[in-house]
Amino acid sequence: MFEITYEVVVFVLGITAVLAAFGVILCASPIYCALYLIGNMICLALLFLLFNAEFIAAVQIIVYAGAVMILFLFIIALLGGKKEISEPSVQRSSAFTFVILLFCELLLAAAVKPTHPITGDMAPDVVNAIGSAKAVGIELFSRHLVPFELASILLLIATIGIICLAKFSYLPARRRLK
Amino acid sequence: MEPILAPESIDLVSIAPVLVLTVFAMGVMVLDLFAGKSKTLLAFVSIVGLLMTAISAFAKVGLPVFSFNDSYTVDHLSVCFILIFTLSSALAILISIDYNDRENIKAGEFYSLVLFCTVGMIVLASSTDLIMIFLGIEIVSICLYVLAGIRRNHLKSNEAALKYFLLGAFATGFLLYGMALMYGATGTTNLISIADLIKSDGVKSEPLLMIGAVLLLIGFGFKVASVPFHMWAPDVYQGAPSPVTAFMAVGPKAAALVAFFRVFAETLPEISFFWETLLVTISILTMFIGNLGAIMQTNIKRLLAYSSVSHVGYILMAVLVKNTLGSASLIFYMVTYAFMIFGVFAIIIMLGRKGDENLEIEGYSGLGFKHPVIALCMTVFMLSLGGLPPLAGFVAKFYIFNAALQEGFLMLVIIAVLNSAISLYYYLKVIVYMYMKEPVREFQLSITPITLFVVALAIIGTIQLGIFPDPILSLAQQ
Repeated sequence: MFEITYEVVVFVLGITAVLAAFGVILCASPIYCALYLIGNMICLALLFLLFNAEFIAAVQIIVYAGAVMILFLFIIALLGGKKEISEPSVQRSSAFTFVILLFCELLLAAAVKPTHPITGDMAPDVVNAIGSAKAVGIELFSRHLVPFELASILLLIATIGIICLAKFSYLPARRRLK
Repeated sequence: MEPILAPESIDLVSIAPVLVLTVFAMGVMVLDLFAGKSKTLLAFVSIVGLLMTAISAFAKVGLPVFSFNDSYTVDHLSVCFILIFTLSSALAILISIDYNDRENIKAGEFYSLVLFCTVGMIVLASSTDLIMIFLGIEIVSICLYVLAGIRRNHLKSNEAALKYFLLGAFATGFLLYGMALMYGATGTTNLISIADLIKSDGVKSEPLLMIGAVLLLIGFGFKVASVPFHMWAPDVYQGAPSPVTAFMAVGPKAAALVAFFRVFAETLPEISFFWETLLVTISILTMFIGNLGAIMQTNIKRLLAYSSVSHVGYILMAVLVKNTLGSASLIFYMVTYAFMIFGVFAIIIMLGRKGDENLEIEGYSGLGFKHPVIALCMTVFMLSLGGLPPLAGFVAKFYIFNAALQEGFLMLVIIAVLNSAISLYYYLKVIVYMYMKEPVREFQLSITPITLFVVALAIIGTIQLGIFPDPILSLAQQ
């Protein structure tokens, strides 16, 4: 008799996420790729939910499956999502080998002995008492304060960089060569 | 409402260099609004900022100091590297002043991005936490993607930025995957705790740790451009603006190498039986492919790109040595390398003019007769890069090889010496063109005092460190 346990649900969700990821790289049409990517992100959000990280799950859905994917779809719509014609080539097959290698690695990671337990101030009962959003906030602003501030520098640089590249008048390459 | 607990070990003095430089980088952005058309003022403000950063590196006494829950370290290695970063960034800004005028790069952001990039390098050199290392690498990389493509209307520059961005993002994936696996195996991202855990046999799932280490090796390999992850280097070095190329070849590379050293030599020496062979292979391949690739090149920037790949091969030996001798030789090598590279690139910039950068080695024919002093400087840098005594390049190589010999890497050292000999071929080729061929074109040098100053400084550094290496060496060895 097959019983649906917690482990089985986690495993099935994980496999679905990996399959969705395969869909992203194997589909010829960009729109389908984007849809598979959404599927992958929803699977990840469900996994977070299963690990009692409700806040991260919500963020995953809102930010990635919501905002980022909408941008993706907009850009695909802007550029015209034509099907790409696939030609068999050495590079393509070597890329496949590589992906399969990484996948095997993932299976190996699943087969290894139990990983090291993570210790910290946030025991399950503490998280239950204050809620996972607050737990994330407390961790971010205390233990991970410096990385948090560095991430803000990173975002600032990305903004400066893209404005810097976009503000110059730009001639398309075709017209420049004339 | 419970109060948020402050980290136990908050110590703002320890991150003084990061704070000072961040303030200056943002200040340059604001000043850009009032600076008008000429951005030279911003360059000098940036240099003042770098100077203050170098001074603030000495804010802590009684090294090593650990702060922010052991995620940030001020030790001898990080202080020395902060000095190297500020030196290389200052030289890059100095040689970019005239270049930017000539090539019409009128962006104050250029200087700000160089400073932010230096912030990232300082974080990389000082952090002992995987999360911080990742953020440091990303800060450095994003600045470099933009800097490489800052000449919007230049096809090669566009190509460089795009290639660098795609491959860099790909490499970041490896790095992050490796860090995640390492976190899974040890339950912490802190390098000191990871080292303790491995020492006390606390790791339950060793395969996970090893796969993580391999992925980290690949990720760092991309960032330092070691073979087989060096493909981007020639195209990016060729397409990026010359000052940015020089900057990339020294500062960010040194930063990635010191993070490499911290992760592998300081954190994972206990499992070195496993990554040592891999790293030896990578080091040998890097030397050979770098040097053999450089022989074929006709473009001086591509030649230097391959030569810098081969130099990474030598420097990786310092990581293999794993002790303070290794870190000291790493510091010394990077100081001398900074002087040599910035000297060469200052001359390359001098030889170009608006719209024509004159990057083919053939264009250097006859330079020795027309402009003997500049040709002589170029000769000194080339011989030093090739590792001839009594120049700095020789001493730097000697110390790395010596350190590797003491750890018993005899074969590796023999191969490295052999490679030094191969490398002389293409360094001498440039000299042969300068002194033994008839000029094929008119030279219109754009010599300016600032660029001349950089060349003079680099010459003094190259010769001084070659003949009297002791002061810097004793500083590096403390």
